[in-house]
Amino acid sequence: MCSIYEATGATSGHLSQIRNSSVHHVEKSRLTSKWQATTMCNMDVQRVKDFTKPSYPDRKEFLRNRNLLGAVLLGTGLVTSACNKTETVHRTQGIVAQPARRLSGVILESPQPAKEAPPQPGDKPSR
Amino acid sequence: MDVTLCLTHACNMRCDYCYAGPKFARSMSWDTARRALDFAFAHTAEQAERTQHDPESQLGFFGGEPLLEWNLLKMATEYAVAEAGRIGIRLKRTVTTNMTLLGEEEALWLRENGFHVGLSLDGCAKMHDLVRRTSDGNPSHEICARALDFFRGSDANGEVILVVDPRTVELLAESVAWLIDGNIRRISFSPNFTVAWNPVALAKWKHAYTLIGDLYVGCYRNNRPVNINVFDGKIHARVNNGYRPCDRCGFGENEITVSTTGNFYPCERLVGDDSNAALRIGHVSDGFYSAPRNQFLANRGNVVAECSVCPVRGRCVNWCGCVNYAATGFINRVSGIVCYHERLCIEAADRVGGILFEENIPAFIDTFYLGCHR
Repeated sequence: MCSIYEATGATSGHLSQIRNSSVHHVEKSRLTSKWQATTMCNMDVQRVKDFTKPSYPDRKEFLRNRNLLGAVLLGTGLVTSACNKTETVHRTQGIVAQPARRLSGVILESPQPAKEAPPQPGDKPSR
Repeated sequence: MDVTLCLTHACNMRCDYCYAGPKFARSMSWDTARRALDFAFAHTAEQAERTQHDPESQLGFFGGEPLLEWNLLKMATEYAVAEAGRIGIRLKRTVTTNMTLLGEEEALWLRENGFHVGLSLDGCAKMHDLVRRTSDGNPSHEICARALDFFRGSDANGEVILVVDPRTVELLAESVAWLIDGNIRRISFSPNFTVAWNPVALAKWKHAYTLIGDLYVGCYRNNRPVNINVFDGKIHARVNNGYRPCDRCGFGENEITVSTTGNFYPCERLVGDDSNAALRIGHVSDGFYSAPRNQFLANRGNVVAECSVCPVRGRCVNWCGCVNYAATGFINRVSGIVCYHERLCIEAADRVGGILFEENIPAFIDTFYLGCHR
């Protein structure tokens, strides 16, 4: 039987398969002995087979990244207080922490190396 | 322990999909209500002592239409507040109503008494009037929607509950847009899992969740977040690595529903017309019936083998006993339609969650990462 996800893609073959699919076979138990299963739904449980991890983090990951960025910002701040901006970039090995719009809700971009200058005419290709 | 009182089987509406059973004129007596509250509070105090937690309880009113028994509702609330205060129980209060009898006086009283109000309204008139008719067969949207005025804005003490049904699902996104336009900020979907959903209706459902997801994203971008249970629940479950024990209902353990005649059920969805003895777990006169209650507690969960290897099982409500029972006849077997809907919600929630996180929307970060879990 095709999956329901495929069915919502709605080819006629899929749809007829779904329509003809059998209802759950259920045995009687004490709890349901007086209950007639008149409301069975016409599809089966389907395990998710192609699950993609969500693109937003869980809380633990979020807080870890935030703390990491906090440390980077703090480090940058300390260095900045002792030297000029150019030196800061130099002493943090080109890493520049980007403050987010608000500290409590930072988007936690990983610190990226400073970009190189765009190639100029006559530059040799880098190896 | 949470306790819901089914104040009456009577209702002035005849909604096609109502799971509360046939409508007839039988209401709860004051004596039954009082004994039910006494039982629930005694149990709450005992539980709190055993677990060394602060005693908490939630008092709910259900029906039929509970506002038909307005005086009983008020009397029971006043008694419950006094008793809870005396014992030291923190008491939350909820009521679910079809809104037809919810005038200014009632809304004000509910607000002053700290109620969270579940407003049964299927969004816009076109969707609502298809299935929610008065007892004499007339459309009811105009009457019901008047009460919305008391519940607009983000600090409103009410949420609108829309039943999602195959007959109305194509109007769902339009209804949500209508509610958001009307400054309703809390919206819950309650799918009808007891009917057959054909593939066309399923496709419409999926499409509706995509459109509603776009509305949800737009609200966050405009810094006017809206709570929609199918998105919020799944995003919270992602952020917290699955549902937590406190997200799950008490189902006979920490929660009972008391019928008009004093019978205890694990959930209000199982009361029906109060005739199914197999679903009862006690009575106000006798307390809990140990054997059937223990069987309910032992059978909770989900035994469908396919689910045990599903990668999203931690974010799935396959454990909801009343929904399982309604759809399969077993409290511990999830149905295909619930499975379909859970996958749909997770897919839709992850799409909007990904967008809002990527855009670093402050309200989103606050709600799901830094704020309290709702």
